Amino acid sequence: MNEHSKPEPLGTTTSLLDQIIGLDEHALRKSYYPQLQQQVEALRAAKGALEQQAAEMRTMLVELESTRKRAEESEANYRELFDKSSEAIIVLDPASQEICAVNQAFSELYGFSREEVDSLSILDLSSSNKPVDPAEVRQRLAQAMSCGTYRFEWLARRKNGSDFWADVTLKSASIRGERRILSTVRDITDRKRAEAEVAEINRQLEDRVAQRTSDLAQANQELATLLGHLRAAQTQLVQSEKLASLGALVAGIAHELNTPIGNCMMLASTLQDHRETFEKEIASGLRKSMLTSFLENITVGYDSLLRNLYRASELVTNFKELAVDQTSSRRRRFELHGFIHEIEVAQAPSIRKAACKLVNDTPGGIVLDSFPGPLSQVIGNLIGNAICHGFDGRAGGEIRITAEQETPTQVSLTVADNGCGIAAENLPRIFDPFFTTKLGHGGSGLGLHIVYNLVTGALGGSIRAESPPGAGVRFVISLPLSAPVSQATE
Amino acid sequence: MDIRKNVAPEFVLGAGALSLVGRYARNFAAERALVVTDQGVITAGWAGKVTEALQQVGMACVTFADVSPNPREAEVMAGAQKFRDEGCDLIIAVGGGSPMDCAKGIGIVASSGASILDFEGVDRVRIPGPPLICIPTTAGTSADVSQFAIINDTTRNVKIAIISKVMLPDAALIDPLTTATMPAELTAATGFDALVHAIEAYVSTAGSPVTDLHALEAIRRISPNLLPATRNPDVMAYREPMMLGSLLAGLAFSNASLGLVHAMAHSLGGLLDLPHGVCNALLLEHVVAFNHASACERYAAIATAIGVDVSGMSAAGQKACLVDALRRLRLSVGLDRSLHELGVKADDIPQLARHAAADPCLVTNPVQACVEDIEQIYERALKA
Repeated sequence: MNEHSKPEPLGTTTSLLDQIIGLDEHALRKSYYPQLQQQVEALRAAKGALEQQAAEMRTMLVELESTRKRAEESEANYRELFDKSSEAIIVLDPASQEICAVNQAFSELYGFSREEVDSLSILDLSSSNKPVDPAEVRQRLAQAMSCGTYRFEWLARRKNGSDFWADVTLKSASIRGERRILSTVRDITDRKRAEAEVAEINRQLEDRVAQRTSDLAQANQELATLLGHLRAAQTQLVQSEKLASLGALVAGIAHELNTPIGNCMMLASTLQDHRETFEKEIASGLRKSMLTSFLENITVGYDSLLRNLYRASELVTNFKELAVDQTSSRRRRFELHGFIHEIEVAQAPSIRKAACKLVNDTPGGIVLDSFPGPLSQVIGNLIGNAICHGFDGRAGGEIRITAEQETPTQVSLTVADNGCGIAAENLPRIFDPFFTTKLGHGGSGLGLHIVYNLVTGALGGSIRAESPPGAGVRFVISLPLSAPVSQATE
Repeated sequence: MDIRKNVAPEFVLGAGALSLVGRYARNFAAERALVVTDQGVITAGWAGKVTEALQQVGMACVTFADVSPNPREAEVMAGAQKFRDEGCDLIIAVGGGSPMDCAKGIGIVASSGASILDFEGVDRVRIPGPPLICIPTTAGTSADVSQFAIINDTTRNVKIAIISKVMLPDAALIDPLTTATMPAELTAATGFDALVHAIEAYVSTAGSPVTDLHALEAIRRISPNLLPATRNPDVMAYREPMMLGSLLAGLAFSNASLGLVHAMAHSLGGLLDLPHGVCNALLLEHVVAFNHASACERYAAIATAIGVDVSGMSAAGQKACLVDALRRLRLSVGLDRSLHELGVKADDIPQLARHAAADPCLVTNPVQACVEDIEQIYERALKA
């Protein structure tokens, strides 16, 4: 073959020949295909598992790194806390009970330098007045190891020999991988003293409390007795006030009747005089002029007499009606305006006496099915209250009674005066029993209390008092048109 | 003695071997076979025999017959697609070199998902294909026992060689009966191909005593039976030694590789799509003449095996005798047209030579031919 025309090299000719001979070929002769596929699958799964393991190990590595960092920080923190702690700390080996380390606060508390501590044992730090038993030390350390913490008080001794009470907390801890007991020692001398003082004060206090308790029990007993008496007295007074108001009514009736009856008396006596004069005159001869004059006189006299008697009769009828209402709890239907008018008549004497005016401004046509007796006493008391308190020391005044049917079942009745009003601080108490501003001047302190009881009791309504400054007092009574069915109080 | 490896598939040789395909398919625990074949084989009835045998054992099968002579990369890819689409798990190739090489390509593409062109060269296959049973119906290509697959890259107009132990079929059912339907020209062309396999393997630089044994015995079987087989297609007494010769030649070249004849034939097949066996036959005498000086003793042994007595002759005399004997054999079986007559033009030669010079078969040729050498050989073959 021509040397000059060597073939164009086929890249790596020799190695291609070796490849054809095939001793170094990588490919195995084909084996059963599905098995090979299974092996490939198994390899893939193994690869997946390995990758997962690798990922897990990477995660572990990251965790380990962060754990290591935390450990370093923890070590630094421990150092800082240990050295800077204001409390004395002794690190003990729980196995040998030897002192491993102390901090600066320890040296300050005990007076031993940190170097001197190396030659000391726990027993050297204890007072000889209350020596510590080595067995006890072991037992306490064991307790701290098993429970994690153990606390006790200890009479400790300083380097200079002085003793002090200490509060010791043992805590089991792992320090740089070693099992250790951290004992925190706190000087509690001050606390001990304070505790003793507190105990003494407590004892004294208890004595005093016992004495006071006994005194109080006695006073309480006395008060209970007194309260019983007061209750009895209150009941009596309420009763007598009711009777007193009845008495006032009777006095009023008497006064009213006095006028027509007095007129009648005077007219009768004048007629008598006229008859005697006439008798004498006819004895001297009857003249037509005399007879005419006499007849004129008796006509006028009898006319006047009859009018006065009629007036008396009318009054008696009214009073009878009122008296029946007043003294009974009879329930009936009545018209409000007329009812107020009756009261107005009954109260006329006292109203006139006080030189004041009562205006019945209620509309006609409001009919109640209720207890007129208690309602009349309520209005009577309110009128009395206005006269007694509102117009006291004043030259007259006006009491105005108004009503308004608020709802088909409810009527609002207002008794207002233009008197001096009620002081704001007294307003909340006016319905209390025995509250009066006229104690010793005729006020019993029961009038408004009775009003309150009747309104809220038998009448089934409510009452409130308003006293805007300079505008007198307004009692606003809200009543059901039909009183509750429950039996009325007496 | 150099250290050498020999590989061969399990093969069954003998009349009626084809009927074993059902049992083999079942032995591979397959459920669905892809039968790779071509129209000629279907017409001859052998593909039908295979599918019948499969049906007898209850094996489902799909036929892929879109295979041309000088099988192309697109056909391989289409076959692999069909293999996957149909859910196949076994490939059975029945036919000549084209269906068998195509089936080998389909296997490695189906299992790897790669392009067939990625495997060009030696020892480039990493993942084996599914089980492959080859049933040759020609006595020539011996793809059924070889680690070679030759695929036509139609973009570059080059035949690529894929050489790997992985390409060996799992079983070869070599049934001489199937060769009886070959027409005379095909018998001649494929027979000559087998002869070239044996001669090139014997002079290969990668040869070994075992391949030598197979190669020489192949030459002894083929040379006396080629002409009678061409003339008496039905006589099994000629067909059987032809089939045995082809098998032995296959075992030889599969392990020893080939030489310049194949490098040049691949180039012709790639560029001009010429029939492989015919190209081999036309080129053989010219390459023998070119190589002779480098392997005188080997060529003498070949001459003896053919039945040409070259004892006592000079080297030149031996060469002349051998070349003449080969030429006469070729002409006797009717392969008497020149490359020119087959459509090769002088203008094609430089490109043909360049491609041949890059063919892996050239590596084991006893002479390391350069492009100019190869051009000269083509020129001679063009005229002859």
